[in-house]
Amino acid sequence: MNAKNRTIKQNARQKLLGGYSEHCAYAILLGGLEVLSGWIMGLFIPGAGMQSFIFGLIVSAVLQVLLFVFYAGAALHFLKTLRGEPSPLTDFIEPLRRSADRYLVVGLIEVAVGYVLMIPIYAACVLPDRVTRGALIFSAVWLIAGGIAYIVFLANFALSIFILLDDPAVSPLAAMKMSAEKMRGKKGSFVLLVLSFIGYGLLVIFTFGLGLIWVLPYFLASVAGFYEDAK
Amino acid sequence: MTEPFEPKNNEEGQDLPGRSSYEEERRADEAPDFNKPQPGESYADYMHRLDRARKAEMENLDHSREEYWSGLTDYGRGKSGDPNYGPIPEEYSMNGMSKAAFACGILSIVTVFFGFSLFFGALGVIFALLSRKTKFGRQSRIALWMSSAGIFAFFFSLIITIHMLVSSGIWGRMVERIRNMDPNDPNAAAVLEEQLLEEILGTYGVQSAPGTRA
Repeated sequence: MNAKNRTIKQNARQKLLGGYSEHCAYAILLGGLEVLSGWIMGLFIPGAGMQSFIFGLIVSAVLQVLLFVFYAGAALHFLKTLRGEPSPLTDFIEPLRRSADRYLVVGLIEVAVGYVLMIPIYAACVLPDRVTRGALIFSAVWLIAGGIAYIVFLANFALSIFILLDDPAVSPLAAMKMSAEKMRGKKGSFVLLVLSFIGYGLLVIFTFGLGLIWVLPYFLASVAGFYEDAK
Repeated sequence: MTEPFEPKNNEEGQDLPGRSSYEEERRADEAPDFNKPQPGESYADYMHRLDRARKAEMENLDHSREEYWSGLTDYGRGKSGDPNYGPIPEEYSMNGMSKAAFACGILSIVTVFFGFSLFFGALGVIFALLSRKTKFGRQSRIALWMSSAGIFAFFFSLIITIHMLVSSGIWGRMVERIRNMDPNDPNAAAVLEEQLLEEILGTYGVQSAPGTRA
């Protein structure tokens, strides 16, 4: 982790201290919505078969896009926290109340690219009745290559949500373009920042996911700090 | 360029509406500038105060608060003459996170024999890591050590348990039973669990004291 990322994380920790009850409420709300979306997805997948599988994928994608708007609400809270501004709990639904379509467009593009990248793996391993060794090797290679490509793609547009929050006049595509410009030469640093949370991820697994209530605010505040730094 | 003169009082000396009175301006002029030595404040006190302000600025604390500058509460430890006068060293200051980390650290040690040490240990490490501002405080460091010890103890006991199961042959027999298990049997897992318990009790179970058996 480079020195700038260390400073960003240190600043995020300092700003979060003393207000964890609010920050944890945001994490619990996000977690609750994730669980709810998983439950809804389970309702919509009737059984095995090609049709139900594709239907399940579509339902999952739609739910992820909808969740994106609430992630924008959480991002607004942590951006305000970093700036020392008061942030009521109603900020969680602020993007939903005001021009939710802008966030939905960005979410749709990001989720759609992720699903398109997964198509070869579904075609090779999930849909056929019998999986060959060649298909497994292809899937593993594609997963690594596609995963890296998707991470670079997400890193490019990681700041678009904050740009949308800061400027109500900017369009979703313009925000994505501005984000890509801001991230020029900083993508590596951003990926390193995200990777620095791997240890926390491991600890969260040990706590059966409960630790995410405290780690998610730290992560989101660090990403917001990265935006403040790149601005 | 000087501002044009605007009367703020009428001829009787009363304030004109909509304009700040001389009294208000005088009060604003007399508001204490906390960056300068205060009346009755010794040079040592003044330097202490500035030192604390610099430290607070470094730590990104809210140094604009009057309570801070006048050294009453929160960030400092009273005024000159108090036994512990001066800023609170970072290693002695505790926030809610470090308290939580400390509690989880203790729980991770206490619950080693109940299997919860990994859960509390991981939570303790998370809290300890989140509690640091610039560096670890004393309590956070102790909590981190205790939580790490709890996690280590969990994995150590896990390895010892697996070693005991393997060396006694229980592991191999259970793997064989899982292979031969009917996947459609809804009670298979329960039966397997019962068999494992029986095997463990049969091998390591409490035996009757010598001479008590009939």
